[in-house]
Amino acid sequence: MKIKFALCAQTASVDRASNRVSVFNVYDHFPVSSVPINIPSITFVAAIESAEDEDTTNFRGIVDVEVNKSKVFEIEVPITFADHRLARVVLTFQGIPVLKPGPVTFRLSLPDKTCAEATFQVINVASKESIQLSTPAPTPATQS
Amino acid sequence: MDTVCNQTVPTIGPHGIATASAKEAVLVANSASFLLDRLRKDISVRYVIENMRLSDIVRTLKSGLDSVPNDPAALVSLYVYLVALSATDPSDRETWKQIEMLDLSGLEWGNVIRKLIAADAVPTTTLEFTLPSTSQS
Repeated sequence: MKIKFALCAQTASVDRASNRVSVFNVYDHFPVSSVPINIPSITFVAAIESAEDEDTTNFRGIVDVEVNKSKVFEIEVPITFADHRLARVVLTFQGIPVLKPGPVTFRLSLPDKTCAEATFQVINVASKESIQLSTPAPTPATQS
Repeated sequence: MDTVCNQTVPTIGPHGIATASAKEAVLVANSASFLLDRLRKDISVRYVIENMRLSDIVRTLKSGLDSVPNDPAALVSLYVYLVALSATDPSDRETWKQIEMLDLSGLEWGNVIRKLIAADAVPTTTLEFTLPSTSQS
């Protein structure tokens, strides 16, 4: 079993006519102006591929959410292959509490111990540190 | 009294799904993937998906395939029904079995389109969770 990708985004949708997934506004960081906050909506998307010789039908994976390295949510998720080699999960979480800036991690674990995670940093733009981090260092003036 | 019946032919509907854009797609298609891509976006396919049950689409396509017309323009509705089958739930094994059993040899791109549709049929688990709210003091 292999997890082809796992990522977090604001929204995702599955097209009815083509059955393809579109992912919108991928989170590689999440700037906020104050903490604590509840992140209104995060969609975790993952694609799982079974090996050619693997006998897969249905099983359950575990998705857990960590905020600042402490677990805030864990749930079992049914994963259906139905004679195909690929399966997807599109999970939307509303109201993830973030008490202070730091990493937010979504982790998908499969019964065979395969695991994939997507992490982004919550950055408080109002704090001194983040301003220093986000301001590019001045480049030396070039002489012509 | 008006004796002339000015009944207009529906541009779209159970008896008129071969829209001008669908006809154009079928007539200019130079590959199965091009045709599939064009028809998936076409209003005729959307109409079929939204107004017919999958079992009815399979049945209609099957009866159409029993006597495949020679006129390329007349093939349009068969392609429309075939592409509409891409809305089949990937987990619906019964319908997929029926789709696999269709004899598409009368449609030039039929078999390839079926393979492309089947390849895109990835089962997707879609769930929503709301976490209990915490005080933001």
